[in-house]
Amino acid sequence: MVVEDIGLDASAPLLEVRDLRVHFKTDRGTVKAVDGVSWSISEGETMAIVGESGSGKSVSAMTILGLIQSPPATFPTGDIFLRGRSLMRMPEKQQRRLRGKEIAMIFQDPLTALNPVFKVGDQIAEMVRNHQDVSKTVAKRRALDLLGEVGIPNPAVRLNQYPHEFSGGMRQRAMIAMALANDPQVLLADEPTTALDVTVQAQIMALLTKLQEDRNTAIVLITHDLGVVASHADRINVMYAGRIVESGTTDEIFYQPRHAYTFGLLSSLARMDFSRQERLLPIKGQPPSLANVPKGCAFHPRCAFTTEKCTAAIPVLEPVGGDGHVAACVHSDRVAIAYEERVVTP
Amino acid sequence: MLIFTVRRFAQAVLVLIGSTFLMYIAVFQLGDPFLTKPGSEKVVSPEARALLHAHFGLDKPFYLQYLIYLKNIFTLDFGIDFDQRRQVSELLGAAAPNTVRLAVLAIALNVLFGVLAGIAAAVWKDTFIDALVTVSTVMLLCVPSFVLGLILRAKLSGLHVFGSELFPQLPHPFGVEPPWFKAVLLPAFTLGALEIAFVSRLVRASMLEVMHETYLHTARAKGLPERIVIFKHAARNALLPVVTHVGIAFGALLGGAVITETIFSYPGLGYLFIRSVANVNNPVMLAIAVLAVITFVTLSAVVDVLSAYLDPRIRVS
Amino acid sequence: MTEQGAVSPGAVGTLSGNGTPMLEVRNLVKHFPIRSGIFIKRVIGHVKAVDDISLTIHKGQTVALVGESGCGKSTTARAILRLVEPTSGTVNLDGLEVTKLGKEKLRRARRDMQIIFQDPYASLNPRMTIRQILSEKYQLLGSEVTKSTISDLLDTVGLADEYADRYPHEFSGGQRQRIGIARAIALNPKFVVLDEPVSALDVSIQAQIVNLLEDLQDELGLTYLFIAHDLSVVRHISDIVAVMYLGQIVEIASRDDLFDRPYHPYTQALISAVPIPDPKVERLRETIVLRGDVPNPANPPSGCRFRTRCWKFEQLSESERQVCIEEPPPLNLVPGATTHRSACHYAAVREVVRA
Repeated sequence: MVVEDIGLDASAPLLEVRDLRVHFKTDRGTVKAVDGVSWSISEGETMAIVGESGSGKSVSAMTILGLIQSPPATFPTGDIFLRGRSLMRMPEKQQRRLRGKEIAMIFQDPLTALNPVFKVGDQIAEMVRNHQDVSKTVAKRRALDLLGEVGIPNPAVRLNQYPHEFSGGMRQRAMIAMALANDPQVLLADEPTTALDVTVQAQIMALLTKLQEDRNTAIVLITHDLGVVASHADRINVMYAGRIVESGTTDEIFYQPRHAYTFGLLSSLARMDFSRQERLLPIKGQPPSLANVPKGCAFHPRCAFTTEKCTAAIPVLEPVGGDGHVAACVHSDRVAIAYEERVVTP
Repeated sequence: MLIFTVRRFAQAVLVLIGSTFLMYIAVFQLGDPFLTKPGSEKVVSPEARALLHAHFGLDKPFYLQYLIYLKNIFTLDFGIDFDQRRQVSELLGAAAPNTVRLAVLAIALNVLFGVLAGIAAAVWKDTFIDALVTVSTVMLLCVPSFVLGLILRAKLSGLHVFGSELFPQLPHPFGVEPPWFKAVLLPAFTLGALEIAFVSRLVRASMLEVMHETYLHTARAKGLPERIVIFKHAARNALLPVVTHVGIAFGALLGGAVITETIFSYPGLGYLFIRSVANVNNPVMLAIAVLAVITFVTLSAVVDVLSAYLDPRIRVS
Repeated sequence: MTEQGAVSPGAVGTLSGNGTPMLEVRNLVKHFPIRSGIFIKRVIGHVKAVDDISLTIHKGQTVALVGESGCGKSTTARAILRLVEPTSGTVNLDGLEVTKLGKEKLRRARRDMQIIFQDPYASLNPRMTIRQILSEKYQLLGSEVTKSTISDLLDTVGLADEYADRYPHEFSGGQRQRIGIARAIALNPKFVVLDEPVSALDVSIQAQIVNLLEDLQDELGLTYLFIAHDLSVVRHISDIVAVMYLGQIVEIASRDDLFDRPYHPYTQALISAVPIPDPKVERLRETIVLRGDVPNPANPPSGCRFRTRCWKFEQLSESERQVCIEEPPPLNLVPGATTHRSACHYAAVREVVRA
């Protein structure tokens, strides 16, 4: 553990993002990909960041690992803390020691996330050797063990193969093996199952759950799939247009949505356990361009509950129920009523 | 990998057989290559003609001629040249090493500078370095190779630095043979300069494509230093199209860089070829042409095999 | 195959619709040759992408073809439209045998059978304006384009008239898909294949497009073949669902029958794997996790193709397993049903949607 030499505070939350802003200067104007996001996660927890394309969920995760190139990105406010120690103010060299060791990340499409010209075993071994002072042989041995641990059959053969020789599910397993090679405390999973078939998705989520139980890893699950979130997340942050609009436990978000967007999203879903609903209830319009975010509440042009109060100022996250459940909606009470009134017919 | 290599070289052999056969038809069957051309100053003496006919078996039946032709190629025996009655293979043997040196140096220059410039331009895209590289390469590409060669020859030949001669004086004073490592510099630079321009643009474009790939995010997320991310993970992928291009260019250069060698009076295969065209020295022309084809086809095959080695996805097809 | 209850795959998928079927597919096969060799590539095998599919769709119905990658559903759709040439089998569209048509007649028949693609970014020519893209449709098949034709068409799919002179890149994913839909329905086709039409869209937009597709179906009397892997949308929009695995239909039933009373172990595993956005329901459900990967379609397992991953296979006795290994299971009616079929020797119903 790197606690001693980097001076981490064992009593602070494991990973905390505080008022993070990530803005890009483009010819179209300033793109506010992340605009004031705060959240934290503790060990062993699974926290989901839910949002659609353009919500800023991926960018916020990639910022944690310093993967956002700056320029063209700027970080007007905010910081990220690993056990109390600022990551953004840390010298680059120290940050690199944490990447892949304390915090690891897996990406959406495992075919493009693995380098096509290197063997899978070598890529995993590289991860090991970058953080552990071991020989090539030992690193390869560790890669072999990891491949077995993530359930890849014939790991000795697979070790010397290239990514294109693996199936989609196996590639994602290999990525998970690589991410967990140094026993990180936090795993950032950016849409880990979106590119996979649903039965493979089930396998991968089961694998992540088991590995989490074994190692007490905290998982930040970034996704747009509310089904996956319902079955695997402890807490949820809902993002829209670069901001968190609602945050709470999984049950709170699903059964007591208090932001109009959360409510709209849940109502628009087709559900496999409902026999024919009359019509789906979509959210009208489309998500805004991040170069041109609507004034006040970013969701107001599409919102069924909107009034002038919504454009006056950007709504702040306020408590709306159980402790920790917050929503940035001026009309959260009306949303609550609308939710209760919705007739739920399976 | 092995199957791929075998298959590729087998294909190369087929191509060689086909192309040498076509050349054979063109040269030997469509007229007598050793006849005096009407209106030419050069007269092929009847003895020389008889010698060559015997050597190439032109009086024999078609298939025997072809076999003799093939045998000659294998034994590198191309007969006697018209000009000085020497073995053509001797002439080639004297010129070939020069061409090889020229080709190797030119390729080395353009790979070294071209790749570095291309990577720099891509990594520091839209900065001064990128602009410098892009503008200078465009300018270089606009200059035809012979113009560049002539300019360099006019300005730099006979240049003395610190008292000793850096680039040989051209035209050569009679009887003076400059050492090869000085003679090769200007021609290599001429050839290299244009290739540098091309290669750096190619590398830049290829790197830019690769820079957006997710596997670079993965590499950085592992905590790897940026130079390893760029030079190991990115460059390896970006250089794949470059390998093909450089290999082909190398193969072409080995056949003799006709214009550049002529400008600098550089005694390589290209210069030899031009002189033999001027002198209607058919055996030499034929020999060089055949060698050029063989070199090129072989090198293409090597390049393909190398590409498959570097990019495992190619092996599957 | 003449046992009681077993029917030649001809009569599957017929349900209460109007009398004449709109689309009849019989024994459709598509094999892709695999070539290998040093110089001359010889055919050393075939990828059996579609291996004897039969289907009937009545006018106004929506039949969904579901399955995972490599099951052959997209190839089936394309073979039906002859966008790839079937290796064998017949396709009848409203009485016309499509598989027999020559080039010119096929081109004209295409007026009646259209396709909407998954990727709204890739299926529109970026160098043409919307007006040009849509007008081309009319010109190709010999119809007139009047002043109001294009605006009416755009109006039908919920796009403003002023969008007609813009380029595809100026639109969002959902809007581009609307344009793709407009293009498909421009000439009032009878039959439309929808190849994963909402998979590439954001969740909040999917509902918009699904509603649009349903409205159009009602207004224009369209018949849909809906290719999908998202079972939630399938449950909402389909009348009949056919489940494919490795080139074959393993189960076919009316929508509610399939979801509430699935008989085939693959269908059961598939449905159990689809997460439902409801934490309480999810906590009670059990996911059947399948072992291993989908076998190579060039070399499918003998007998029942699913046996290498089948959870039920593992529970069978040695002699029962032999049956699975040796005999391909016919697509039989399940007990007590008239239209629900499943291809499993040991099919039994299992609740997988809820607890």
